[in-house]
Amino acid sequence: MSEKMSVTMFKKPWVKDISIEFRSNIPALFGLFLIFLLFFSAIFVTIDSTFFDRKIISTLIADPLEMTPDTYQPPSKDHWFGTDEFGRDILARVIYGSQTAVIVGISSVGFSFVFGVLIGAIAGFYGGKVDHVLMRMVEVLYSIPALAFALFIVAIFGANIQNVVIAVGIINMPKFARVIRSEVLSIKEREFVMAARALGLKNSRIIMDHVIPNAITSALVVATLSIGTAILDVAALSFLGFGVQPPTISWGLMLSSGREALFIDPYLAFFPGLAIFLTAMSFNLVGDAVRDAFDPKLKTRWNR
Amino acid sequence: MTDPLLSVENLRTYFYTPYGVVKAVNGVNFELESGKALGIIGESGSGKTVTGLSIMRLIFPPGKILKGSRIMFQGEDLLLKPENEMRSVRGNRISMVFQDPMTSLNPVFTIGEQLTRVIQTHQDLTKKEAIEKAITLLKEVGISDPEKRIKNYPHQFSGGMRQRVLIAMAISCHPNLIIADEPTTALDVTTQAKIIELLKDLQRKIGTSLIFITHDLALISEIVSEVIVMYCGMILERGEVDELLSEPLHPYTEGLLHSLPDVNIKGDLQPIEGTIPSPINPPSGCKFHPRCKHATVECREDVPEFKKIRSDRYVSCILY
Repeated sequence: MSEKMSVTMFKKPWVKDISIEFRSNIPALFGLFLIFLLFFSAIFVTIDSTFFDRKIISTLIADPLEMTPDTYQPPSKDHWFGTDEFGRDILARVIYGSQTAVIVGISSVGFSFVFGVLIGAIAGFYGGKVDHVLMRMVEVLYSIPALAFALFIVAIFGANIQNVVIAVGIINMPKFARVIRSEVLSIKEREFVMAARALGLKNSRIIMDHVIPNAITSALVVATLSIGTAILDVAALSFLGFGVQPPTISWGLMLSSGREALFIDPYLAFFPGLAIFLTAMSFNLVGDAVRDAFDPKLKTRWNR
Repeated sequence: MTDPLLSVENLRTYFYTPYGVVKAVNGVNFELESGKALGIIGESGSGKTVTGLSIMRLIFPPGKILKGSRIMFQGEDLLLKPENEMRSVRGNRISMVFQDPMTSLNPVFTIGEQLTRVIQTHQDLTKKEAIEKAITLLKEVGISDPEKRIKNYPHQFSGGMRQRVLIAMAISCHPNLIIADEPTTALDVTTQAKIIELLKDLQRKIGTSLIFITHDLALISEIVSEVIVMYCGMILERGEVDELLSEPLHPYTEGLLHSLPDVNIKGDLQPIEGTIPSPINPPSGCKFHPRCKHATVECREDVPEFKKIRSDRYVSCILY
């Protein structure tokens, strides 16, 4: 009996809220579909490149790294999306670029999520000097142009994928810190926080067990909305040459090389651009739906 | 004579607001013997809750417990304890039940998760044992089908049941003292009676002492043996419960009793004239004099002494 009980974590109420929202929100479903496609493609690429040495994609489409004499081909039966300046198949490269986008998008948002939530919760909970110091730091971060700051970090510490993730993670962090702080300010006044204190719980326990779980949904909304921006930021960094470095395939890099050939072969920039656009859009559509699902004002009594 | 379980000496808790100093508790003294129940009554803003929170040392800036206050609990001064030792007192040796059961539980966790967390904070039990203990506790506070109910969220409980859960949390470590801060105020009358019954039962069963804070005079005789009447952060009167209710000495206590509706007697209520004074700028002398019909010039000038009238009967009024 107890064995079962200890693992019984009932479905959290917010899981229900989300599933109800998605059932009626068609654009969000479309966004969700695209995100699934993106993840599927990223997982496929990971398997293909680590275990099969790009054999699967080579048989299905073409080797994304293999240079051929057919440069600047428009879309055709052999190359659905055309070829680039080295004659590489753009479709295969767009698919391979999804892996970078997913890794960088998720991990940089994860970085901002963890640090932003912690900083915001600590600032909001303790208030006073702690709040002042932390939030002023966050505001300084907010006031620096994001891309310039990311460029600065990458220029100092070197352009590789980890530094890009950290740089983009830092520039997105203030959003999380601010949202969580404002939530925590109201949560810490609720009676269950005082009750927890009266039961002898430590401040750290109260923050982790009582404050953050009650504030986390708004951070989740920010997270879904930020993945799109993070992917855009990484693409921008790569476009400027400070992001992901070749031979790693990234949409931003493809866009960058496409720019030079814009008048000879517009497809070179069009397809990676489309991929970036669709990814950012789908995360935004899903983010909007998640926000609506958590908005108590939009919630009717019977779908609780 | 044995030492009392709790003895509060000259407790003063002030709040330093931008508008002035609020003397929420201003020189409160009382003792509580082991196993006894003490009631604190008074209007809103009379300092009852702050007294309770001061004993738990849950006063946060701008509030401050002044130097010279002493809260002796089982022979130690709680005010001298470092914060980490104080944490092992809270919930373990002294616990508190709050006013509003609707907001005192965390809405995102199940009842079981919250109960086991409290149990595991103070007792060295495995998760499994803690869950079993939680079930026993819920049974003890009269929640039927506790095996199923511990998987429920607070919103699936009614107000009275939530208060039962909070009481279960408060008694989980068999505290020596429970401070119940208006535990029945947010509940309807029939539920109130049941919660009072439960508290009384539990108090007898585990032999804990109880401080019952309320503004409800009708309830207080049901559960406590001794009563303190507070007004503007000070104690006006103290005595054995039935005696104090049948024969109030202080005009304020008398006024409180007259403002109580009685279903048997039809007629006008006699509320106390005026309202509770501004806490920042309280009246001089006896704090009650602007509303008191017996007030004299003397009342305006000096705070009356807290006199012993007879055994176990104290009052602070110039009439005696």
